[in-house]
Amino acid sequence: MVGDEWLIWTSLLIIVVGYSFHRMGPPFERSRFGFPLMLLGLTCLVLLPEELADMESDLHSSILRSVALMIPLSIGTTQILRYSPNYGDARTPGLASGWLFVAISWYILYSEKSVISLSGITSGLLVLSGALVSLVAIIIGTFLLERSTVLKHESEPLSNEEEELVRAILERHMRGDEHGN
Amino acid sequence: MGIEFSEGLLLVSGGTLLFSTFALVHFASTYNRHNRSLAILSTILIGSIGMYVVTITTGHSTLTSMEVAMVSAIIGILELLPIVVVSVTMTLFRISLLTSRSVDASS
Repeated sequence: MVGDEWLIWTSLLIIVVGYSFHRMGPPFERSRFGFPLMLLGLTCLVLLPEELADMESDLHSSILRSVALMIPLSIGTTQILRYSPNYGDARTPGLASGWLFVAISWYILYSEKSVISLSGITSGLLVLSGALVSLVAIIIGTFLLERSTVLKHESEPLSNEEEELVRAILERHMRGDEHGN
Repeated sequence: MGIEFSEGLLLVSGGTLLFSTFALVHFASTYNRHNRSLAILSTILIGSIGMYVVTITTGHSTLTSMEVAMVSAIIGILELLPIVVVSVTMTLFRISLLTSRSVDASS
């Protein structure tokens, strides 16, 4: 690697790390950095690379095409879901603007006719099948390892005070409040 | 026009390698004291198998083979985006234009 190839791989790594942080959820401090990291990675990926080798150049142009396609589609999808009668307040102008963004993504898709090809879709399906094999292997491996691991400690039984607390909570929930709710 | 066997094998093992790399980065990023981290062993195993197959298929060094496989896998996945666009559009069409029933909190 002699050019900006490292920049592509580092940006992808930052996006994956950001996504993982984001998926950890609010109980973990680092989840706050998830979205900014993803945005930073995407910005670096789109804007910074200049001198690339053939392979990474293909990858970069493919990513740029995908980003150009997915941004209007994502905005349109959000708008449509927000203003559709099922999930929010139905508003025709909001729906229309959402469909406009979806139409833009279709225009981008059709303007690059070479993007859709049978061999491309076959390649994608082969990659997906490889990822699926990997996922199944990881699930089976984890299942087997967890089954073969014995529990080190059994939980202590509840103390009297804890029992009282649990009983009180359950009784309160089962009886309902004084209005019968 | 068709895909040769070696190319197909490269794509499948590239997918395996891509997913296991993603899983390893995910496990490392989300590490916390409650983790039992058993999944990492099977991830390393399947990633190593993928890398071995890729190296055999391309005949290059390990790093170059990994680069070739990952690039092919990412481009391959991005090739599926038109299908995603079609399916998302169909779902949005059904949600926004064909259904007028609102979904309340209890349903």
